[in-house]
Amino acid sequence: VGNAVNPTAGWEAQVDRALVEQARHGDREAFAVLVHQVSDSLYAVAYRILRDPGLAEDALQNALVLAWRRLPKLRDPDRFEAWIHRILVHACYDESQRARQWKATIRVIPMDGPSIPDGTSVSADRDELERAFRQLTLEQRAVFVLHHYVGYPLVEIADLLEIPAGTARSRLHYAMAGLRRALQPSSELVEEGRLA
Amino acid sequence: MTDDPSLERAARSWIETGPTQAPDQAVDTALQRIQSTRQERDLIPWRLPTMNPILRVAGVTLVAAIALALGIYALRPTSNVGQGVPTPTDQSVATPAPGLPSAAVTAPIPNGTYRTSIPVADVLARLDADGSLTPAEKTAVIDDVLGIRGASVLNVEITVADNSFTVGLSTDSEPIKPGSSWKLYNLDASTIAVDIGTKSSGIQAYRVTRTGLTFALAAVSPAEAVETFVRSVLFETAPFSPAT
Repeated sequence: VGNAVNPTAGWEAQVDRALVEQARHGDREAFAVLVHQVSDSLYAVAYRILRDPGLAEDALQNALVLAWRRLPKLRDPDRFEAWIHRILVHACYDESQRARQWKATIRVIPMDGPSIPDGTSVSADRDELERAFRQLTLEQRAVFVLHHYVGYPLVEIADLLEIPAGTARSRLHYAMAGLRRALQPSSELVEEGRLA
Repeated sequence: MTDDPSLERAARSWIETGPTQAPDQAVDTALQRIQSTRQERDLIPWRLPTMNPILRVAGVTLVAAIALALGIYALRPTSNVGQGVPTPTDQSVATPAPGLPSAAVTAPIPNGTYRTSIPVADVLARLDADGSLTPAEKTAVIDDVLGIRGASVLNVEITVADNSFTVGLSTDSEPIKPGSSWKLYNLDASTIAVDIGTKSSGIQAYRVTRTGLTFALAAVSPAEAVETFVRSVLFETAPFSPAT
């Protein structure tokens, strides 16, 4: 479940429960220490969902401020990581929505022509993955990142995002399907009747 | 999750590329914003996980004992319990019953909205003198629970509506902000219990002293230090009068 190399795998050891408890009781200095412990990981997750450093910064800031505000309502300090990831994902949704509103009147014209993957170029594959990932919905991206980057099991993602487990599974399925299409040579797609 | 391991490997490898360090400026800005951001707390933050189990058991036992005593009281032939809830405009309730000493009224708090105002300087002086709270708890009470830093008056508003008990707070600089609505039980003419939910310590009991249309509350169930202080400020400092 999840990948072996992920930046948040050691969170349980990194996050000091005593700090969470102190911050819950209003200790700003304790929360500042917590922020320094978790902000790199949170930013990495936000960037991977939003694919934009500016939006990821804003999402991180808003998530941290919201986490501070809501921390007294966190019932179980042992659930801090999952709880702050939920806040972050929702902050990512909000940022994306805000960005969409700003860009609503701008028609995006691709700089490059359509690229044709040759199936061997790693760089081309990465470009295609990037393009395909951006076509996914935010909800699909979030499940993909939480599962394949952070390493959460799907059941935990469902719990974290407060969605049914089947929905989490389906979002991941569609995300993978989207990426698969991006990596398939165009000839295969034509054969499969996906490009008509 | 997928039957294509090479795709999964490629996707995982791709998603790992990218920044792994938050820009310092973003973190600093967040910390600056946090300095001026107040935490959201329940107005009276009783919580099961942090409440001393002995206190919780004692509270439940106390409430049960009160309920039992009041059950016996209610069964008396002369009891007036269950005759309906009067309203603030019901003068028959405001008038003391014949034979009662002074102006005390024995009847449930009528439906309506009641207010009291408390000088913040008094709260701060009491907080300063309180030896049971830590400095961090005192700061939290000022900034997060009561939100009275920089204010001169704290207004407390209680709305009673049949079986609900809603507490709102405001200061001279902020409008009333209604808090959670709790279940209200009239245990007898002079004792109420408020059930503040399963996520907290449950039921808190208060003795009610009514004089005309005003009433005063005195907590009779135990609580931890912060809760004891907060409820003493909100409910026990001054009597509540009907909001005009």
